[in-house]
Amino acid sequence: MSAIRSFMRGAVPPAVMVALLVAAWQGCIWAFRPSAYLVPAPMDVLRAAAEMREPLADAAWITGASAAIGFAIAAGAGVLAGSVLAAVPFLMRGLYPIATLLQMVPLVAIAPLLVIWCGYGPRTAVASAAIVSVFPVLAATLDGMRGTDRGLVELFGTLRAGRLQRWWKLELPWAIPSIVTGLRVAAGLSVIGAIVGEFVGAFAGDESPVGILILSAMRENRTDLVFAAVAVAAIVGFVLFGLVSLGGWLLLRRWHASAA
Amino acid sequence: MGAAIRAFGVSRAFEDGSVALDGVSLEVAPGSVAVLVGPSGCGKTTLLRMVAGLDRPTRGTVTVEGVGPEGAAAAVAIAFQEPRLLPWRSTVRNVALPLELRGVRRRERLARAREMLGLVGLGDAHRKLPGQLSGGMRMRAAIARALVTRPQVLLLDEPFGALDEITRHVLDDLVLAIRAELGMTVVLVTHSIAEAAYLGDRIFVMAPAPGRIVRTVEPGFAARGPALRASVPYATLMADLLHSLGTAMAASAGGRAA
Repeated sequence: MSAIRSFMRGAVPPAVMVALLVAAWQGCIWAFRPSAYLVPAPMDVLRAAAEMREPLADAAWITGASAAIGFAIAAGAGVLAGSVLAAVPFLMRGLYPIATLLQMVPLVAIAPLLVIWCGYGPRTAVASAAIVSVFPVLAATLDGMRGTDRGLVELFGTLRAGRLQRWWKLELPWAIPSIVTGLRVAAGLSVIGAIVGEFVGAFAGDESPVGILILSAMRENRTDLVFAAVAVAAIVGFVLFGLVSLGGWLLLRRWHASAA
Repeated sequence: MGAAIRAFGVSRAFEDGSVALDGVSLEVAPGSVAVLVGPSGCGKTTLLRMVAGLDRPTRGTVTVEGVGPEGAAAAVAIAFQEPRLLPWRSTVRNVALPLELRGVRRRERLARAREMLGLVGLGDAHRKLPGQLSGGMRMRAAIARALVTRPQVLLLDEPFGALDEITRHVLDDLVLAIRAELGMTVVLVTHSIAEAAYLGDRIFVMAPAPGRIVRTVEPGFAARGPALRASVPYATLMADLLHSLGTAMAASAGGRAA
């Protein structure tokens, strides 16, 4: 019973806000009567989504897969790189500023390079998703590991733990709350990265991911379809974020129980 | 019989010129409870850390069971001021950690951890997470973890300092019961004169600036328990230790002023 109440407490406010925003949107349409090319009505968007449901579903699947693979690569690489930097202070002092600087470079600026390196197709979207989401994971891993309780590090010293044992049994679990936060940020970014990759690395085959669908709809002046595709992209991001949050919750259950 | 722990002319100076210990010598008999008592800054924890191999003297030697602390690492276990339990691990898995790091098989290490939890009175709490235990229970778990490798020397660094008086008394008796059961040498660091007087077979009174032993006392109590805490010899010993500490502190303050 308390689980249902807790779910309602979490789900009702955002649902109410979405309903209010859609109502406000429709209200603006009635009040200002903009051209459907500029701002379509919510019902037009819904109609376009229903009409194009199969291409939209396929697009969501393709973009979601690119984002998920890119995210998985970023998660692995970020945790590994963060662990190495945390373990080797010289590398951290040398590489972390460079990584920070590279993170500032806009993704759209390097996306054409990805096309050169990865070719046209999903690989560019995957690479783009991985690149944009690796830094939050790396930074979160580094922060989490560097914050390992000094007393516990000393305890592992008295127990004569090896370096790998200390990493696996202490530093990595200690950093998990921080890593999960980084992963949640990365999950959202990976969808953005995948769509940017799709924009520049237009797919050669029959399959159209969300990025291509948006570009095609824009060229055909189908703003209602652009809105529908953007909504699909948001849903893909939301699902990925939700899955990562669920995984994080499962990983952190023991932390929360211990802190209770 | 040789000493379980021997320190000879041990000094520890830091780079900033401060001296934590100056020419400390002591011997601890096997199977006894030795207590280092003194105010903050008298170097008692530094000395304990040297016995644990966590720090090295700048002068002098420390031996445990006849060898240097590094060589005796497997024979020594330490419980710190804080329990230092891994919050994501159940109590039994925390206790089993030292065995896990030594590569002991899962079934065996969990069995031994449960045995130690039973010894410290936490037999029913093995599945609980550290956050679900009280402060006293966490400290018991930390002691069980220190005991799980069956060390010959157990080092206790003010482990009960943050606990209430009643819990401290219970855990003091637990230390004595464990020593009787497992027969190891115990070295306890404390700033509590009452705890030192109650537990110590040999009490080293330490004073600061620089850290040194100003007096060694062997109370020789035949038995411990509530009767001892209420006895005149115990109260006299506490007053005696307090006087020794006061005199040493005054001498240290006079030395600094001069």
